[in-house]
Amino acid sequence: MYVQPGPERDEMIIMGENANNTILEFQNITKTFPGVRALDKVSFAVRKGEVHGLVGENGAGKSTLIKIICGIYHADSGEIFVDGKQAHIMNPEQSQEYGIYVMHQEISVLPNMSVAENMNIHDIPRKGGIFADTKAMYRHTRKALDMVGLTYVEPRDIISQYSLATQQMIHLARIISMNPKVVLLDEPTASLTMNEKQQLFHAIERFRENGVSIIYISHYLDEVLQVCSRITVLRDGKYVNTYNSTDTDNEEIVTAMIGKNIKPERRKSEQMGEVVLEAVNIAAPSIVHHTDLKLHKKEVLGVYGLNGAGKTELLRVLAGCDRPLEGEIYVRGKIVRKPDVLSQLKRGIVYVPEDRRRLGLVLGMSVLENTSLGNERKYASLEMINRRKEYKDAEKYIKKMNVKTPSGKTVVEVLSGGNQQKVILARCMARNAKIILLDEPTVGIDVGAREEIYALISEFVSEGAAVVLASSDMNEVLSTADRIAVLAHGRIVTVLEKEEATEEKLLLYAMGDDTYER
Amino acid sequence: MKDKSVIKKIFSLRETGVVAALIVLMVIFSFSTDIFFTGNNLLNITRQISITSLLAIAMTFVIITGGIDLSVGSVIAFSGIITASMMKDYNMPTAAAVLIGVLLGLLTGFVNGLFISYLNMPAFITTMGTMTILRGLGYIYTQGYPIYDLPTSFKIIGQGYIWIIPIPTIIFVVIAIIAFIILKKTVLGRHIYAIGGNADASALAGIKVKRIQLYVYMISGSVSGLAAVVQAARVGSGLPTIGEGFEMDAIAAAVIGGAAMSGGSGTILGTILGAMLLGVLSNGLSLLDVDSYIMTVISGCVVILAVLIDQIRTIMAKNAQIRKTKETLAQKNRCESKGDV
Repeated sequence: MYVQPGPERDEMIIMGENANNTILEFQNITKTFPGVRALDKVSFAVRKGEVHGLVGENGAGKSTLIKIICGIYHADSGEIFVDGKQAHIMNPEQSQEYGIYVMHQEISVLPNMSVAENMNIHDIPRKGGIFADTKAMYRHTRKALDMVGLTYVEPRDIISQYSLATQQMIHLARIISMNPKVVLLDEPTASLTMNEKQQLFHAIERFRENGVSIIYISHYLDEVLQVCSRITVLRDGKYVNTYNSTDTDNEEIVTAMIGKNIKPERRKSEQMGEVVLEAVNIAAPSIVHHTDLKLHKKEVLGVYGLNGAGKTELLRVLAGCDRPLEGEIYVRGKIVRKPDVLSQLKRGIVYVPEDRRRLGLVLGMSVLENTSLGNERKYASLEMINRRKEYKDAEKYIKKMNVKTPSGKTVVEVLSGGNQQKVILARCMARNAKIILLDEPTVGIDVGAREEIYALISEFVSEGAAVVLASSDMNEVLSTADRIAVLAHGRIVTVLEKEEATEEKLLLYAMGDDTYER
Repeated sequence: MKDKSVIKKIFSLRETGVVAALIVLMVIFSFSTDIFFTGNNLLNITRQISITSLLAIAMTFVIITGGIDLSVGSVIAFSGIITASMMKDYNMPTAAAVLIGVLLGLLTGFVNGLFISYLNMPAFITTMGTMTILRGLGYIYTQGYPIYDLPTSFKIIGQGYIWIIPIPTIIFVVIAIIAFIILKKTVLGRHIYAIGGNADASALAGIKVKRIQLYVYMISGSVSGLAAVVQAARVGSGLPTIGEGFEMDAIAAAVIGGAAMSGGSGTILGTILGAMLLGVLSNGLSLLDVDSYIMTVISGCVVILAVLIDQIRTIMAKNAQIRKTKETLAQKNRCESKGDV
């Protein structure tokens, strides 16, 4: 526990009753995208010198709001007030003129330049108009680094020699040197170890004392409750409530995040068979730690976790894309030594990646060619592909998957996301896949196609396959999976049976305290 | 309806532009010179372009995977020298010497491929290295002197005819047909396009990306080795200076024919047409007594023009796609708002 709710904070909350104390205020912010209302009349205020938490499920509207604050998106309607005056933020430069700075989840650095150059790149101090005043630059940098407690960082060192966490803190130092009024931290602890987190919390506390307001966005509730004095909850693009962190708890916030949703209709389970895939104590670089997993025949195993919890990394290990550092993988009871993509494919394990355009499809090739990709020998004799045979077979699966395409020879690039995903599933079916590892299979896919994909998953399972469904969409996991493994910080924290799984439970486990020392 | 779509298809084919340019050039040269449109001259052109075409075919394989092979020009010199030396200095029979020439090319490709695929080195740097090394080895082996007085049985490969058709023409046509079949019909060909289009997705789909990369450089090397033999036979000697800059002509032909340096596209037909365009241009202009220095400038312009036209077509196609998507989205929104009421 770093930020103790001491007398200071109570004082501040009392002071907060005074309206003049507001630094940033949103009034009726609305933003729509084709088909979705991302933000719907959101209003709340951030006080001077407070750490204000912003939480919500994936898709609640947090990222849209951030992008509006820093001028990447423009609100359709509604106003933003900075220091009591209406602000018109058209681009990131303007938002910085208002004193608003954002530390994004993934910071970008110039890897081959020094710390000082990275921190001053937008305005390098000059001598005589043209020469860089290196001394002044180092001096400024030193001062800023000390502000955030990075006394061990040397301004003239190349930035990439420092860890990602330190680079993040360096970025924060840069922001602080600009004299900000409001700093947004977007998932700042996603890649930090316990010690690094403590360092960050220290720095946050120091800013707060200097009168800087912080908006703290995080998936991890314990952290949010620890660091923030007030917490605003968004749900489905709407403002729900703002809570004082001293008189609320995890449960209340989770309930606010979920609301009263209609219970999703659940897929009927099949009679499960024997264990087909088992992972024992596997660890993968940087993210998966000592994780066990069992998958049965005719089962859909949900893997629920927030973004960055390690879902993709876990699936990639199972699919043979990444070698596990430790632990064993068993397929149908037999240990797999040195798994790789090819050998796992031969065992009937197919991985369907989240980024289907980059990892799933050869966009310039036709629907049919993508359906038989990597499996062309099925239709070849003496290495010559029998195109008629290939197309006939691929056509069959395309029809079965209900891929909407002008023709099989259409380039796959022009299809919609849903249809592209169905092409990849058609490939699984053509390969006669026995174990299908789905990574966020419905991301960016419209509702209709989504339902079709769920139906296809049911079909796969009823025909004897087993499916791992990794997703950060709670409803998807709850409605489709037979069992749900909850992943947090690269660990499976619990495995819930379908009957006992609820939204609250999933969120509480997924957002749980990271008490392990990494 | 059907006729319309056929016409549309012809216009949308990448090769159409090159064919059109080729026809225009040929018409111009036919009217402006007496000699151009004679059987002899046309056959002569096919012989003139045979070396470039062979190298361009080799290059097409590599470019489709998103790579590049700069060493093909030096292979022409080095393989040619060794082949010539085998016959002259070691009295080897022609067939054996030819085989050694081709195998040397294959070996070069194997080394290139090994470094590029399994050791993940950039193709540009690796093949630039082998290019320089082979060029240097050629000079060392010959001390800068040509190896001539080669047997007639060898020279016939470059200078002879079957009926009225030059043998180099026959060789490049046969290789082109084999290359066409490999790329269009075989599993290997499909995989070459796939890894050029998206290596990551191909690997996940179970394609052996590295091995195919290796194969591609081996194909490129051995076809270049064959081109070296034809070249040496045509000039009747092994020359350490020959083939300088040939790799650029090969790249130019492939690019004019529609291959994208980013990989995933390119055809043998297009490449041959590209080589023909350059060959016709060079032949026609020299018949018109145009200075050969000016010819170099013109062929450079043709390459840039070809890529420019292709770029414009890509942008137009993309814009049309975006327009279409916007329209469908707008339509959807209209439907939804109606539904709300």
